[in-house]
This record gives sequence, structure tokens and C-alpha cells, in this order.
Amino acid sequence: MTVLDIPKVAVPGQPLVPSFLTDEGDSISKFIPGQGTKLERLLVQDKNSKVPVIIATILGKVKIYERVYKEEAEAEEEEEEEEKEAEGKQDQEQEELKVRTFIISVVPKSSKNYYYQDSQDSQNLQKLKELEIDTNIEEVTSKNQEDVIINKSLSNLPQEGDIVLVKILKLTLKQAFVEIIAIENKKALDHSARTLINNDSAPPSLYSSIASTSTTILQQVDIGENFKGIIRSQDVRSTDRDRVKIIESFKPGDIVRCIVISLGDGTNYYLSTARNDLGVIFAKSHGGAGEIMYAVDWKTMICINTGEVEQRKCAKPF
Amino acid sequence: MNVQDRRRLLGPANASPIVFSDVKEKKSKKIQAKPDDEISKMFINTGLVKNCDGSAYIEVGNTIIQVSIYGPRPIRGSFIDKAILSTECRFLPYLSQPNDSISRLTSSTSLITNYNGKLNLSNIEQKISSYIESCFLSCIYLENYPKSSIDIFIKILSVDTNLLNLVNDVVHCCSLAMVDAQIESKDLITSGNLRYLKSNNHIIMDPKCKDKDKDITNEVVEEGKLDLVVSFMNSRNDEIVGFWCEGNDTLEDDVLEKLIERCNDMSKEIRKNINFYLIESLE
Repeated sequence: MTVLDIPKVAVPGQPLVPSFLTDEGDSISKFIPGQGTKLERLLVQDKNSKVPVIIATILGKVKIYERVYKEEAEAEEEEEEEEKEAEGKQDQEQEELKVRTFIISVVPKSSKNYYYQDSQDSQNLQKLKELEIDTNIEEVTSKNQEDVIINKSLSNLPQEGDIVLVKILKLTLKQAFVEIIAIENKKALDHSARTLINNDSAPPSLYSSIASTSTTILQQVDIGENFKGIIRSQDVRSTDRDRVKIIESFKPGDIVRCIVISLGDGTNYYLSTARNDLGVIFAKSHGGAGEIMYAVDWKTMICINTGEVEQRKCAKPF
Repeated sequence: MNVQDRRRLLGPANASPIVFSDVKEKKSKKIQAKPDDEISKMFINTGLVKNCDGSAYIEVGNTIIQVSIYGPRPIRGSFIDKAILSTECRFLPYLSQPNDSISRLTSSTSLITNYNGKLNLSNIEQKISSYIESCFLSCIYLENYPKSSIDIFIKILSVDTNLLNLVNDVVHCCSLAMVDAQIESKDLITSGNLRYLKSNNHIIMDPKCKDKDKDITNEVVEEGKLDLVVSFMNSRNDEIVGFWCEGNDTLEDDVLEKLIERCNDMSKEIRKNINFYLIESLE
């Protein structure tokens, strides 16, 4: 019975919890840094060596989730059954150290819904329980599970594997140039929101102003606030990929759902729509002059007012 | 004389000149001298600028500083796996900059005249920029933000103090803006500033210009007087991230150690206040 002695709110740099805690010898609590936290080695007052401690990296409220693995849970059940059968002999093994894993994260004030995205664990992850701070570890209160999903990293930059919404800017024969508008399950990219809502221009980055001295003036004009991306023709769909025609897949102005396959080069992220649930979501006919179109099948869209049919690589809507 | 001057717009015939009442010049209040071991009060606020990702505003006496942070935002050019940090400090154009006369003397070496390719920055502005930049470089988790840049814009709206005292306030303002921008960092940087008078072995914490009419641009570096700013990451075992010393004298090791210790005390005190402000702002 250990009472978690963890602060409820944290400022950057504040130590939250050591990475391991023992409860009077019979179980170990292991803490994993989640969003808004980092594992660092710090000197502790009465010790001379550095100890792994989880610190907060942003200002926000501290949240703790318990991680329960599906396999582990099943294995434990099986073990229990076996142990019942073969009682007596394995008494000593029964007293194995129990390791409970907790994810500790700091959630900023502004955010409400967080989704846990951890590609390695998503298969094994059965449930994440939110723990009330100041309660005993033994008395876990599980809350509505779907609300309690957290993001692996706070930085709202696109990462490999993220699903992003993009706007098509420019087409060439080999690739489509896009602008990343939002990342699914993350806070909207501030910059894009800003430029969409009001046209206040932020002062240009100091770095870009240096870089642009070597490039042409034309590029300097369109220094955007958004991250850019490329969908290459071979990444549009997974079948018959050498016969893809970009012009039959996207048109400028379309809103497309993509997955980030690589951080790409300095300027562009590399994106792909080679999945059923990825592709054009919103499109207007006649290059944006017409009305909104709806997907009929995976490569046609229709405008219900005019009956206009255009070709797109559509995302499966449901 | 009925002939009017038609080339001019004349006022009405019954116009009379304005007479101002006698305005007595207000006697400027004498600023109460602050005890030498006390830190001056400050007013802080965050998130005032809506256009940027994070901002902070700080007032200490008549010194007013505003910092806005843009980032992480995309860069152009080749791939980088870490964010680029850049800092730009600017005084409002009509302000007289502290220690200007001194820096003009040193600028003849022209080592810093074109710091980081930024143009039109005065020497003082460049010095402050590079100090802040080097402090925060070691503090931010730059590897979390590939292909992006983080830009710190420091605006000094009003100044009534010496250079290093100003730098001290700028550090705190930047730290607050960094928190407001939710940029992941190892710690919150705070710093301490003091003046050491060698003649009577006296330490003045948070030295202010007591004389209001004193020209800050011409503060002469006196023999045996030493100004010091040390920046710390206080919850990270008091790691020092920045050190700036102005003076014209040698320092003994043990004295320096003592001075840094005092700066650390001051930094911790300010850190407590900033922590309190931040935690209050959450609720």
C-alpha cells in the first residue's frame, strides 16, 4: 500500500517521480515518461550518484495511467491455474516481484482530449487506467477508458506514422505538393490555424531570412507558416502503382487524408495515401469552382447538384 | 482695410490665442532606496500576444520587456534533425541603450558586429541576443522538433537600469514565454544579478540605478566594481547555463564562488515566485 506522492501540477523541470518505486518489497512500480515528461538523471539530495528521475518538460496537470498488457493478463491467469494444480512445490516462485507499469504525463491546461498513440504497444495494450493522484495504488479507480487516451509526444509536429490532413497545392506528373493543415488526434497546427483565420503575418523566421539569401527572391515571397509535404505517384495507392496518374488522383484545393511515411528532406514530408481509409475527403468540382462532391467508389466522385463526375483517389468514408 | 488676403485660409475674426495655465512641474518622487539584499518586485503576465505561439510581459520598476516566441515552425533548406534556435533582441528605437558608450569602445574589434547574419542590431542588442540564445540552447529539447526553428523575439519597451540587470529580467521573461509556448525544456531558467564592490567587500543584490536622472548610457566601469549575471537551471541541480561578468578588476576564486552562490540564492527566490505564478495560472 503505497500512497503516490506525486505533485498534481508541474512546471518545467520539476522532478515528478523516480523511474522505479518499491512497495515494501513485494511489488515494484515502474514509471514510464509519457507526453510532457522526460527521463533524466539527477542528483538526489542525500545521494552522490545520479538517479533516473522523470521530470516535467511543460506546465500542466500531472496524470498517471496504468498500463495493463493483454498477454500479461492472460499469462497471469494461466499461471494461476497451473499454480493451483501444482501447489506446494512452487511456493517460492509465487512470490516473484510484481511489476506494475505506469505512464506519467503532463497535460497542458488548454488540451482536453488526448489519445494514446504508441504503435508498438497498441496491440498489446488492453486498457489504460487513469489513477487519481493521492489515492492508494491498490485502489485504482478506472475512469471512462476512451477519454483517457494520451498522446505519445506533445510536440505537434508531424511524425512518421501520423495521419495528417493536407491541402493540395500543386501537381506535377510525378508528385503532388501539399500543405499540412492538421494532424489527427493532436492539437491543430497553430500556424495553419492562424493563417487560415486571420491574415496576421508573423515575423519571418530569422533562420529562413539567412537561408533565403542564397535562394531566389521568388521563394522568399511564399515563405509559409505551414509544413509542406509531397505525395509521390507511387505512394498514391498500393496496387498498380506504376500506372498512377497524379492528375486522376488529386486536384489543387482538395483536402486529403494521408499518412506520414518519412520526415523527408528539409522542406517536405513524404506522405502516402496507399490505404483504403486514406485519400481525398473533400473536393469541389471544376477545380474548386463547382460544388462539393461525394465519393461514389474509390476512384470517382460525383457532384449531386450537377451530376458532374470527376476522378479522385478517395478515402473510404466509413 | 477690407482687402482680405485671399491666398491664405484665415481663421474666424474673433479668434483668440490659446493661453495655457501655469503647469507646475511635478516633483519627481525620490525612489526609495532598496535594501542591498532585497530583490525588486516584478509584474509578470503571459499569453498577451495572440499572434505568436507564446509570449510574456514583465515589468520591473520602469523596465518593461515583452518577449514573443514563434515556433516550432518549418524551415527551408536541407534536413536538420534538431530545431534551430534564434534570438533577436530589440530596443524600441527611441530608447537609450544601457552601457552604450562602453560597447562603442569595444566594438572596434568588430567581432560581433554581424552576429548570426542579423542586420541592424546594435552591439548591446547583439550581446543580449547571444547570451539568451546560449542559455536556452542548453535548456530546450531541440531534438523533439526536427526540421523546425524556434524564434525568440525580445522587445525592450522601456529601460531604467544597467545592462546586466536588464539581462537578468530578459532571461526571466524569455523563460516565461517559453513555458507559454509549451516548448519542451529541461528546466525553467532563472538568474541572479549582483554588484560587487571590491573596496569594502560589499555585495548589492539586484542593483538598480537609484538616481533617476542618471544617464544609463554612460555608466562608467569603475575600478573595483563588478557586475555579474549568472543563469541557472535550479531544479536541475543548479546547473549554470549562462555567465556574464562586466568589470575591470581581477577576481579571487573564493570571492567568485561566493558571488555565484549569492546569485544562486537570488535565482532560487525568483524561481519560487515564477513557479507560484505558473501554478496559479493553471487553476
